Order: sequence, then C-alpha cells, then structure tokens
Amino acid sequence: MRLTDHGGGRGTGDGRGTGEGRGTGEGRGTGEARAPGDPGGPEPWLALKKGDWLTFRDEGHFVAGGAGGMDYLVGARREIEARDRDSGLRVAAWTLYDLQAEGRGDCRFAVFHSGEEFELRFYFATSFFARGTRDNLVDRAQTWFFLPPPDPEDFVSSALEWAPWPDLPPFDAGDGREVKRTWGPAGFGQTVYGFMDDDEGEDLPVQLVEYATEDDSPNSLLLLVEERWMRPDGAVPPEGGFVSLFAGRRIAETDITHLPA
Amino acid sequence: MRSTISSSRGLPRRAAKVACCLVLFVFFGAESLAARGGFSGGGFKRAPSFRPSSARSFSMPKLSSPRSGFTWGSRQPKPRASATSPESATLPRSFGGAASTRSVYDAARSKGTLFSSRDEAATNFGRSYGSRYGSTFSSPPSTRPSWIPETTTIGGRSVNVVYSPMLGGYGYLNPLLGTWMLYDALKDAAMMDRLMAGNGYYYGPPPVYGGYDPGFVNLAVILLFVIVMIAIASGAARRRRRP
Repeated sequence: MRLTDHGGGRGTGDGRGTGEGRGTGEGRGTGEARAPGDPGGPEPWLALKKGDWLTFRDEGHFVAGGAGGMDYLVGARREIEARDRDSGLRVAAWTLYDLQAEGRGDCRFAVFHSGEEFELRFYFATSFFARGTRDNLVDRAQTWFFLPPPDPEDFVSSALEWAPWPDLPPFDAGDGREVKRTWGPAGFGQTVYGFMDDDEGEDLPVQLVEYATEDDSPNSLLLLVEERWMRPDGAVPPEGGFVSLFAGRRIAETDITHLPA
Repeated sequence: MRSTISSSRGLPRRAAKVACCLVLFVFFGAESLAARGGFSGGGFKRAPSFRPSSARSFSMPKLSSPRSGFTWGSRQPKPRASATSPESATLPRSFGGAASTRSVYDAARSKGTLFSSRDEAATNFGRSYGSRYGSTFSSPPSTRPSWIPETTTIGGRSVNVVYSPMLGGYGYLNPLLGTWMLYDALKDAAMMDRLMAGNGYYYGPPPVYGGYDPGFVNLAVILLFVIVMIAIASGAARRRRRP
C-alpha cells in the first residue's frame, strides 16, 4: 500500500526489527542497528520512552544546529489512529512524540505507519500559525486552510471544509526565508477522521490533513490536526475543534541517534 | 407477397436507423460517458472513508460579522507562472522513437548528432554538454535551472530535488540509501532525453510513417457509417421508384 507521493519511508517486510539490545544505556543509534536498505519495522521508534534523547543529523539540522546536529528530549507520546469505518480495522497511525530542546519551540517526532509502510518525520510548530479553535482562526482571518463557504459573510466555522490547496501566506519553512509556496494534498490526499489517545486514555476525535510542497523548501510537509472536533455525545461544537499546524520533513533512520533514558 | 415487399423496404429503414444511432453514439455517447467519469483516470487514489457515522445535524450559531479580506483555500491548484525553457520548448513529441518527426531526424543528420543507439548518443552528449548541465552552485540560483527537475524517480519512488547548502547544489534524499545525493541530469534518463532532444540529438532508426492514432480510426468509422447510410438510402429510393 503506497501512501505518500515521495520516498523516505521504507517497506518493513515481515515486521522484524524490534530494537533488540535497546535500553542498555549505551548511546547507540537506533538507525545504526540496521544497515541502510535493510528491511525493518517501525517498532523501535514506536517504543521510545519519555526521557529518552534523540539526535537528528539530517541536513536541516546541520544547517540549523551546526555540524553536531540537534539533541531533543522525548516527551509525551500520542497516537492518532485512522480506522476503516466499515471494518473497524486500523488503516494508518501517526505516533507523535513531544520533543523538547532549548530555543527550538514546539517540535514533534512522528512515526507514520500503515501496514508494512512507515516513515519517520520531524515536525515543528510554524511561526505564522497561531493555534486555536476554528472560530479563533476565522477571527484572525487565518482562513487559508478552508474552502470558501457559500456565503462568506454568514457561516458556521465547524461546517467549513478543509481545502486541498490552501493559500498560505509566505512563511519561513526552516531556512530563514519567508517564501510563498504552493501547498497541495499529500498522504491520503483528503481529510482523515481518526482518534487520538489523550493522557487519560480517552480517545479524542481528530481530523488530520497532510499537505506537501514541491517548491524549494527544507521542510516540505505540513501536518494539520484538529482535536475534539466532535463532542463525546456526537455533537459538533460550532466553534470547531482545536487546530494545530506543524511543518516538517521526512528523516532517514540513519540520520537519527537514539539515547535511551 | 405484400408482406415480403414491406419487409424488404423496412430493412433499409431499420438499418439506416441503427446506423444513425451508432453515429450519434460515436458523437455524443462517448462524450457523455467521459463526462460521467467513465474514461477518466489518474488523480489521487482515494482512501477509505473514516468519517464517523454520526451526522452533523445541530442548530449552530452563525458567524455574521463582516468577513472581508479573507484568503481562502481552493479545490484546485492555482495556476503558476512558469518559465518555458529552451529545452522544453523544442521537445519533439517522442524523441528517439519511430514516430519522431522527420525534421528532427534530418537536423540531427546534418548536425552530426545522429546515432544508432541511445548509449552512443548519451556518451557523445556527455562529452559535449556535460559541463553545461551541472547541479552544483555556490549559492542558490535566483531561478531554478531548467535541467533541474522538481522531482526525480529513485528506485521507483518520486523524490524532491531541492537546493542544499550542505551539498552545494541541487540534490535529493535517496530513499534507498537514506543519504543526500547531488542530482545529476546526465544520469537521469528522462532529463537526459529532454536535453538531448533540445540539442538536436537523435538516436535509433529513421522515422517511419504509416501509423495511425485512435482519432484517425474514429474518423474512419464515422465516414464508413455515413457511406453505408447513403448507400442504403439511395438503394431504397431506387427500389421505391421501380414500378
């Protein structure tokens, strides 16, 4: 099953690669456990613990953090699941870890996995987008992600549809330049309705949309997540759910070093 | 006897009606079928629907304050300004194949860029033009060179080609090796063909004419129906005139 338009992920074959030898206290890179191109699964990346350290050595971090890459402390773990409505089977999941590093803002390490495919990604909160409910976005005129309603003077925020082609303003995607780029659908190419586990073990309804740009950009991915768009009783709050936006890129396993807590 | 005559007169009429229907289908049926999506293809593969079964049927307060100056997204990509490169502007429809134009072949022959195989053409092209189509730049060019594509295919996967200060040029993340690599137009078969075509290169056998395309077949079928209809109608008219 191919889920993305651009490479970066790796087929997992038979789902081997459970991260044997981990947790020994040695600073061995998880990526070093497998030679590039070897079949492996996402399991080692799904088993990260709070307090672990990750060091990214990919190009973006060379540029931003110097030749030594950038170290991040792993925080809370959340998982967004998308299930097939009819069968109830899990179709795909996005496992998101909070990352903490001084002066780096709100960052996430993401493991996208679906069947035998998985991808590792690094995301960070964009500076141009302030999180909030749909109403908050509309009040701030941040309507780039929505399709225009039939009557732009009179509408309900929660009824707005996510646009496949958002008209985003120029922003810095990580290279220090504010550039206007063309963003289009990526991943499933449409809104994914799923559930995210919260700290109390409750499944929160989530809408998730992925975008990508083919323009010159060190971070060519966008991940838009709307939490709690539906109440537990099935009602839809008119103000909409809480919307977050992250920009990011795919990262090869070999560009990440994992240091267990 | 009357009934025999009647049926022999009715046959051409029925045949003419059938022919008319077929012609109408050729003209309008296929078009309407395409309009319904019958012939459409490509685009994104749609994923299964994850929308929960609960419906949105609620009374909601509406936002009614003036909403001016909003920027909305769209269902379709907005047209982008794109510079037409000399290479893409001079591309023949199918470089290197039998359907290439005679003019490309003749020009290549006169320029000395006519080769019997692609390998020979590529080797010659690399020697003559290799330095012109490099991918290293000390600083990002103000406009993207026409020989650096937005994406390229590596190991069956499409990857983005981006300017990388670390590489000092345009490169991509090799999905098989997990490492960044400089893009090389001369190792990209698709781009190489474009560049060779743009510089008057031709390889393979001389162009051969005589093929036809589906449009020609459709036209021929329509003409055939029209001729048959006219023949049937004139035959019927002749029979009616007989005493």
